[in-house]
Amino acid sequence: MRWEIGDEFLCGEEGDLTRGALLREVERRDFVKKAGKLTGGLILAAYLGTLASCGRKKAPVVRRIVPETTAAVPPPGAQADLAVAAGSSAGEITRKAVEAIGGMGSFVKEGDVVVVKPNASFLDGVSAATSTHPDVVGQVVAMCREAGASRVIVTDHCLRGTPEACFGANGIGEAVRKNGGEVIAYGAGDTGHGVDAEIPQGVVMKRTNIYPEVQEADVVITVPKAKHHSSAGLSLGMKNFIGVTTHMSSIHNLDLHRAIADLNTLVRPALTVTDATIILLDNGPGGPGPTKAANTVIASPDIVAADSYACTLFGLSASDVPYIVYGNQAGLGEVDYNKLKIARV
Amino acid sequence: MGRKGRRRRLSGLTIIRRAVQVAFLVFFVFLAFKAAYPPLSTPPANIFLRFDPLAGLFSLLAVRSAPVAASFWPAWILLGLTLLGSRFFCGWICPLGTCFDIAGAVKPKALEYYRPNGGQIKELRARSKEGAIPRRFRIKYVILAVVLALALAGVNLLYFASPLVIMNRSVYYVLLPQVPVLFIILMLLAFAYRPRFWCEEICPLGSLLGLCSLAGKKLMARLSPISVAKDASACIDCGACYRNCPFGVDEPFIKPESGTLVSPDCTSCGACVSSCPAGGALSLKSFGLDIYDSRGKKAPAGRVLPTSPAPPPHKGLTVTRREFVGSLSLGAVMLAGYTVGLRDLPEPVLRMPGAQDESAFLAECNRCGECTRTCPTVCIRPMGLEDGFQKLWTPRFYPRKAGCISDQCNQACARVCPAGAIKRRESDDFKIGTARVNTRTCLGYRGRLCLVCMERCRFEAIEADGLRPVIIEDECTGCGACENTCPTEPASIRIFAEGYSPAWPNGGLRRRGGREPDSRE
Repeated sequence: MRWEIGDEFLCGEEGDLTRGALLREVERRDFVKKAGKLTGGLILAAYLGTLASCGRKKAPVVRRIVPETTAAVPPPGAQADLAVAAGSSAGEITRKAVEAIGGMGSFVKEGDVVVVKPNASFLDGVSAATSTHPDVVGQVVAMCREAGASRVIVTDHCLRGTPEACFGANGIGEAVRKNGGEVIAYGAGDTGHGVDAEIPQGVVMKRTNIYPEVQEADVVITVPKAKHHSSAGLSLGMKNFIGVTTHMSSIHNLDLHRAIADLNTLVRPALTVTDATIILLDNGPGGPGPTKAANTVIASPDIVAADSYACTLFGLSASDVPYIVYGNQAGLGEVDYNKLKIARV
Repeated sequence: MGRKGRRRRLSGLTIIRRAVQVAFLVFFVFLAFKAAYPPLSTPPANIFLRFDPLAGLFSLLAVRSAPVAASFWPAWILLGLTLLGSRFFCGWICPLGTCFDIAGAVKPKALEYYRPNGGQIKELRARSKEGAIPRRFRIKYVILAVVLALALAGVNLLYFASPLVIMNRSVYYVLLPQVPVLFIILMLLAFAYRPRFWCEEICPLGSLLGLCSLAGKKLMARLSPISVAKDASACIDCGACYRNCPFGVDEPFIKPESGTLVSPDCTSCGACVSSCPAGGALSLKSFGLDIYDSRGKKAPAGRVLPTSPAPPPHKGLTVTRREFVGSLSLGAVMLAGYTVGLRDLPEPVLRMPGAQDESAFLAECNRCGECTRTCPTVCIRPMGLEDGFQKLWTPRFYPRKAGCISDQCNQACARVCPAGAIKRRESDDFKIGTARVNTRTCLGYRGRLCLVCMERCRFEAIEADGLRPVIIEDECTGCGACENTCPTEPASIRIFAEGYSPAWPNGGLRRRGGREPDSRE
């Protein structure tokens, strides 16, 4: 029925040929139609699928961690602004140091979600002095739990492999779990997704992207390892926060010291507990290098003061580590620790 | 003809078969999901891929290793069962076949393919009695022979030849997400021709199973776990079996003699049995016992689809001269493209640890995508045509995307590889390549504070010379942690295959035997 078109052309031998051509033409048209429908359907399905998967994309959350915080305020009733505890047992001196500045209860309230940021990037044990001493981290976690924290999240972006491998090899993972904390860490295999954050006080870095755990925490406690760092000079409390941003590599395209200070205007810790039990003197941050048993833990609500004091353990002063100076200029704390009340326990 | 007449009525056997097929498909997709790190160990995430006798044969021909061939034990069992019965795998288990059946079930009415009507069936029957229907030339056996011959020569074509490999890769591609091109082409073929067009006319695995079943059929019908038998005395020559066979097997209706079907294409799916209107003419047997037979249902008059004008009944793959010339030239183009890439790769392709011998790897790798699925950092991804068909879909290591953590994931890729193409390492050491620094763009060489590469290197293969990274060649494993993290764009430190020197200034390489052991403490 379909190909009864154009009968007037179909006469004689030539007509048969034309008819055959027409037949083919009609079949081809049918085929093209079918193929068109199929392709259209596929494209439509793909488009709907894309819509369905992209429609749920969350708008970036932009907010500051601790709004309008400038200089760190020591808790009322504290005996000192900065505590330096010396001794051979890492756990014990950590507790002593924190108690000397008013105890964990003055930083962590009942029901708070606490994020503890150690330096857990490396695969070496305690003696290599590349990661924070597990006892120091464990003790901080335990003190937070005692102060009534509802959750204690220990987080870091591990540099040398998977979070499981790093937190396992340096012993921090076990110490945290034993003391009632949880590890939410990133690294190879799971670099995680940060949330965008603006840095209003930023000089070289106006925006960054940080991990949601840090973003959502009530209290942030930094537990850095005091060690040599080949590019930044020393790796201390302020430098430790490079591990909470997903921009940890690209930050090096900027002026590194300025960028560290900028990042610290965004992420403000309530407490800094610097692990200087064994310090790495050279070839940091990953070692291996010469180490020294300094047997010290420094605790302070003032991250700049804590870093400034830690420099002395290496025979340096804060002026040798520009990011501490920039931190002071940004109003993050007091670089001259002699102005503060220091408790030596 | 009303719409009611067009509706497919399902017999009990069809429902059971569909359920079995869907169960296997779901199991297959489940395993594909579970191959993600850490890969499932019981059952092994790659167990379904080891059901593939063709891949097993390849392991004998290409890898030539007894343990690998032994790891294909499910395939050898399947081959044994096929020898006793029919290529039941295709009709009951094959996940790709199930997808084709689904395509057939949801196929729009407008695309319904040709089936002969009553009159044509009678004519065919008459002609077959005169012996006027020639044997169909089946191109699939030629394809199988070519694929096996090329395997001997070290060319692995399993990525086009095995439905399990195609299906596995397609599932991963959807999860990646990328477009599973071959799968879509096959599904379009199923739409455009017959659902089981691939299985019937091309599939080398199906041909292998078919030949295998043919070898054992006449001898061991009584031992067969599942087979179709015909009782010629009850047959009424209606042709319903022929019309309903998804594989176009004409034997139950054309061959006058009774007994077990010997067609290599019979999958014992039972479509003929459930469509047979003559009581007891066809039956499905298991170990010689009837498990299901036709029970004299009403002749399915509604199923006769007069299409007008009717093209001739399908005769397998026939080719015109033009098509032949066309396919020859396409083949020539593909052959030319086998080693020639779409764009010139500036440097040799990097692979995961355990796959360093490129020509051996190309012969052994099935391109099933299992390793790309399991890699915890997704540092390996399937290649495209950038280095020719030869390397199509092979896993390539992209250190810029992520570093290899082979020492920390216990070599997940080698654990899941069903083909034995990725060798397990004895020690924790591995060598993919060596890192080189582009001293012109590296931040450290420009006096900036960086050294991120040194921070990341867990093999102590990067030393700081002031602010400049220097690579210790003997320590470097080529894991790519440095390239992955380099803050410059493009990366100023990159991994290159061993023995390849980039045209980079200096290269920042220190050729010495690493550090002395006493200086480490």
